Amino acid sequence: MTYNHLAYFDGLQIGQHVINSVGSVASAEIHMLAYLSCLLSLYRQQPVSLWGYQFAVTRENYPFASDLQAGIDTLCSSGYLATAEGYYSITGRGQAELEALQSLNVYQERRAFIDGACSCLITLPISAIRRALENDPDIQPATAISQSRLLFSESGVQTLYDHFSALSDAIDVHTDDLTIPAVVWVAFLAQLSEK
Amino acid sequence: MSDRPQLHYPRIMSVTLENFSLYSLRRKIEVIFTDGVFCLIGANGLGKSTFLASVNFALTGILADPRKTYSTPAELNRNRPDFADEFFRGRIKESDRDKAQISLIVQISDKEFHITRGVFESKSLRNFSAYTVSDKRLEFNGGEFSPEDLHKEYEKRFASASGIKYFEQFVFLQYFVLTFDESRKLLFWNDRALKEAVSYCIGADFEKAQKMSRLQSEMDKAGSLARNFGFQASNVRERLALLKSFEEVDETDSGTESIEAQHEELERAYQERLSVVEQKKKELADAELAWIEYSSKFSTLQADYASEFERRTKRVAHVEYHPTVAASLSQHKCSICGSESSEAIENIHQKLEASVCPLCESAIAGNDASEDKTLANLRSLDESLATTRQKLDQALKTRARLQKELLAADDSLEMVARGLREFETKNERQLLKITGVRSGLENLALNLQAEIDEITRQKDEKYAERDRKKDEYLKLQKELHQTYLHVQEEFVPRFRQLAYLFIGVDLDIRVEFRTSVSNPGINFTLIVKGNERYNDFQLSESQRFFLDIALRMALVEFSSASSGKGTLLIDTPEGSLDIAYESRVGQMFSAFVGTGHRIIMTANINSSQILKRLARELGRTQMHLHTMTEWTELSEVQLAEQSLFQEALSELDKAFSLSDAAQ
Repeated sequence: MTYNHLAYFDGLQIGQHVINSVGSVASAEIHMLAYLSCLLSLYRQQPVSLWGYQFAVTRENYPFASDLQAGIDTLCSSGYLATAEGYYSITGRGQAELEALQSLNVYQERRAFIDGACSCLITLPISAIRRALENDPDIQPATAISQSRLLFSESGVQTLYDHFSALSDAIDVHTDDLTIPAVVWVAFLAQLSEK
Repeated sequence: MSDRPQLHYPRIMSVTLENFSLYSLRRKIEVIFTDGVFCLIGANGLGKSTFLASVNFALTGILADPRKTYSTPAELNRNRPDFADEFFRGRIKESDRDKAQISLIVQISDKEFHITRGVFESKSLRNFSAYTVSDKRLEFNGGEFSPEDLHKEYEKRFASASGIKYFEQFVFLQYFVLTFDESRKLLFWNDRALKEAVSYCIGADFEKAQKMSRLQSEMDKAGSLARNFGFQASNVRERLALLKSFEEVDETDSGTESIEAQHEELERAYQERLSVVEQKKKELADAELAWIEYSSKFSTLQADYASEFERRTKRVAHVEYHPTVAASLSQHKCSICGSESSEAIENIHQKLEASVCPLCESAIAGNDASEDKTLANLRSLDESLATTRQKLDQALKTRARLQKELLAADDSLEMVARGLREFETKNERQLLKITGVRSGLENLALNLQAEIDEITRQKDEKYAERDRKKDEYLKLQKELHQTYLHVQEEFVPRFRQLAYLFIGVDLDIRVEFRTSVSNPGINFTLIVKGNERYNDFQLSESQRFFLDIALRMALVEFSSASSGKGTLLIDTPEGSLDIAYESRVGQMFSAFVGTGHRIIMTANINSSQILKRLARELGRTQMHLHTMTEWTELSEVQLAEQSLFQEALSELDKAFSLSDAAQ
């Protein structure tokens, strides 16, 4: 098995946020929050390749990353994440592990993006976030026809940039707090689902 | 007594013409010659000149083309097949072509040759036999020889008998000395022919004479080539001078100075911009290299980090956190067999505390130390990654900046370059004059100079070659001169005598040997009443003709052995002499035959005082007339004028009678 340390960290970091908010989350929700974190990096005009692993939309209609899943599995088998009935939560050991990794520079940038994405959990129910993301302009064309597809393709990225351009007109793109753009984006997507 | 050559000239004894269509009344014409003068008389167009030409053709196998100029035996020999065919074609019918032939009996030295030649056969004889003169003993009969071999045998025997080394040299003498025909090729003013003739007749070594002839040609050729090279070099020098005229700068022209200054300024600006561009390119290359290096290092560190992380993750540890073990402990039930006994759970706890695997009872290694170590390793790699990342970001920023700066520098350079090009196009001429060596001008000048040097070298070579040959020629000429000096005490007086008989005034002939580089040779200068006549136009035409005949007579007399008296063929020029001169010609001819030589001549009876004088001088014993009226049909005009013809013959009869009476 190939270990993607970035996905490993993301699993832990998301697990930490979850335990502070909803306590535990399903695997799909971990993937979804990771996808939202990646979107925020894109919003910050970072190349999507820097994220470190790839997402796809499956027929289950949610974004999925193999490397992230592998990381989750590794975390579970190492006792850093606890799993019960399909829901995951970070353990004490996991928190200690996370603390050790958080001191490393390599994770600082993505930590901000994950923090920004997971801050939506404070204001929105996770189910709502999940539903909103179904209207993501990169996800929706695939889910509309129940087709699996790689996300963040060239055309997909361009579409997202176009949306983000409108978003950044309203919000200062250079603001350090990514909560605002994350929340605004999810709210925007939620509005689309209501239409 | 000086050294004199001892040539034996051909003495023509008889001629037989057969099947000559021109002589329509006689299929066979036989003429026997005796001592003195034989004169063939006839009106114009009857074939007098054809008769003489036929005799020469039979003797030599060659007819000289009157349209061409010949000066050497080789040139004459090259004419062999062509003109004779053309000449006789108009005079012999097609039906008589194979039958027409000329037979000669010729005495030369103590030999008598009988030859028969087909009119259209220049290189073969139909018959050749040789006898001794004294007792008519047959020495050679060519019955079994092929016609071509007969001709070769004839040439060989003829040359041997004559004392002339090569037959072609005899042919030359026959045409230039022994024949004066209607082509009027004069020996006296043909420098090269005169040299040849003189060299043969005064006893010069024939081989040396040939060599002189060859050297003359080679000198002329080398000189001509050298002059050509000189001309070429002049042309190239002119081109070089024109090219160099572009290099002249008019220093007083202020407009030129201003243009020069502006141009220099533009060039300086261009060079500066170019330097900036070059510098930016270099810096950009360095920045890109740094970016690549940091990228590579970053990638390597990332891979190292991932490997270390993987190692850390894979470590065998936390057995109590394994899902199976953790579930067993938390649920107080073995996740494998489902046993809920407290002993089973207590067993798991004990094994874990003893660091033994609850499943296989293998010892579990302590991980704390290794975990600390891998974490430390990760931290170290992480710091390296952070540092490298910073440098990478910096390199990227530098690269982006330099790319922008290079773009700006390129734009600036292009702008200046455009301005410079426009300026140079507008002021091209003046700039060329100022620089003079822009693009290929300097190289072109060097190439032209190299070309001049090479051509000049070749020219000098040819002049040197010419000079070498000239030295050799002059050496031979000196030998010839020495020979001539020895003999001129006899030759020159005789020529003076013969010429005086004709011209009636004191004259002399001066021989000069030219040693000029461009034109070495022999000059014969005629001095008439103390005045030099260097050119032929300084004498009248008739004077030229008969002085030439006098020269030939003198040469023949001087060079012939006592038993080698020959026959001079003269196609008398008429209509251009006044009566007084015609009479003197007769004296000249008479004096010549008085030495034992013969003359076969043609004449138009109507105007000729020559014949009357000859008749009076020689009488019937030494002069024989033969009229052509029996050979061919007369035209209506000629028939109408028969009475005049008879009148003229009567006059000649009277002259003969006077001669007989005087004797």
